[in-house]
Amino acid sequence: MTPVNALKVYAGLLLLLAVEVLVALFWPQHDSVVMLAAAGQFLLLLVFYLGLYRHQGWVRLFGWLYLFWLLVMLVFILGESATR
Amino acid sequence: MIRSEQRPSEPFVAWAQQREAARLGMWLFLAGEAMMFGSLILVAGFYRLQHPDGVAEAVAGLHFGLATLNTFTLLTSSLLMTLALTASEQASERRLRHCLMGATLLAALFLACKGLEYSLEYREGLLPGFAADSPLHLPSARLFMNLYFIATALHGVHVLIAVGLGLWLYLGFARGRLQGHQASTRLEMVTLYWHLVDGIWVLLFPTLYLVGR
Repeated sequence: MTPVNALKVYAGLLLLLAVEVLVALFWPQHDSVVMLAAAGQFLLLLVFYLGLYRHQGWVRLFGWLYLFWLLVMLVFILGESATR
Repeated sequence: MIRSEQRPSEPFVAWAQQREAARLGMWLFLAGEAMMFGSLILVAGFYRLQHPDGVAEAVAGLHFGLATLNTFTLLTSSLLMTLALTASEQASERRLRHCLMGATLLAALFLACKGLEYSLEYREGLLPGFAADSPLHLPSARLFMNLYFIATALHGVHVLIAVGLGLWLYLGFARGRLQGHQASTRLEMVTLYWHLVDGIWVLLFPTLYLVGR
């Protein structure tokens, strides 16, 4: 990754952090937006900083595993909430 | 003549082979870490749905300003680790050392802020096990504080290890002990660990501090 691209990803991470904090401060009822922004940050880290986009084979497999785990968490929480 | 440190370790016959094996080992380790912290995050989310009042009471007492500063610190340290890796690929040793030292100092700052946060929570009687009369009225709020303490302390230990690894790499580069393929492999593995520790915090932060305020 070039330094310019690393800075672009960093800017994206900070932007999502600002979104999280502002939503939590001013629209606290929108919890899902906060968690979506956090998932976006994790995705940026995984794809660009951890290098999922440039690796093949099992590295990519593990990346998908992480994302799948996030999805499992999301489905579990939303499912529990909806069926209570 | 080939010096011994320029050869891959036994049983590998090529550096590319050794690096692939190191990557596989590291990603397996990171997968285990992701599962462990993922479970904690899942428990926090589930607990929030079960006891929204208790969690709201506990979360209101947390110092989320300090935690936001800590998130900024960790994200910046991740950027510096990425830049260190780039500097290594471009054989810019001076920039590499500066980035490594910057990332390590930021991780140490994270730990200092976390320590400050714990000390404030200790004074306020919020930390589990340290106060006879907790200001938290609901039992579920006290239970959430247990989860908060376990998750953040466990993450703090990971950051402490990252600080140690950063210093170890910095000294290795500064003293010229780390060079060539060996250096780039070790730097890449530490960078992977660093980013995952950062990624875990990125999910812990909203789960513990922001959601349900």
